[in-house]
Amino acid sequence: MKQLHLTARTALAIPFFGALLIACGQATEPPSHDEIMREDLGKIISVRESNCGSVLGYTVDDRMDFRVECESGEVYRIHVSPEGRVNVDPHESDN
Amino acid sequence: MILMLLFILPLIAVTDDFDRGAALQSCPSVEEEIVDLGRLAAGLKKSKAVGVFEKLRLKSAIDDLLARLRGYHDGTRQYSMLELQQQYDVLLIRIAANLQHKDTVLHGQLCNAWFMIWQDLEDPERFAERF
Repeated sequence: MKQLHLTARTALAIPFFGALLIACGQATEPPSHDEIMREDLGKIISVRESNCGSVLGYTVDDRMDFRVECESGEVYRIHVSPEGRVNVDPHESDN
Repeated sequence: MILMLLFILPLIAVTDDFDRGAALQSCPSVEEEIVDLGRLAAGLKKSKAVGVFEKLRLKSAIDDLLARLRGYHDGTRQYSMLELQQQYDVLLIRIAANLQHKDTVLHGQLCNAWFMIWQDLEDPERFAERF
């Protein structure tokens, strides 16, 4: 009876560790350029405490000048001023 | 020859301005300059402007970017150099956004070092020397 209990536990453990191994395998796959950019642009918007959610898409208008589309429906312009100041503003062409 | 240089040099200057865009043309002057990514990371570690967890996230993001650049220089090219430059810019914008209202000294140092650090990262020999 005790042996049967251990077998059941093992039977549960196999798919659990199998799923864990698959998840680890997926986690080691390098993210795409777009994924990296969307994640970091979203973090910049969140530092400025603006409403975004996840970033759906972005375009590069110039070096250090981005147009970012948010899950919330907002569209932001992230750009760096000549003094190095980071500005996150509602995108003018989308208002 | 001199005449040729007179024609070529202004073109090089214009190209450099175009690459920089409008950004970082008037960084505040700083007493002590940061000259590499290691010093920026050390300054970030000491800075009180950034919380502990965000410091860890930024350190991890810097390490990830260095690993991608190492891959590029080693020949395992997952990303193009232009993509890596954009990833670098966005990471530094993220760091600057954290610093600009709370640590103006480190923010000024970051502004001044922005292009200098990139030159170390994109050049295979300078990258190999430093990292």
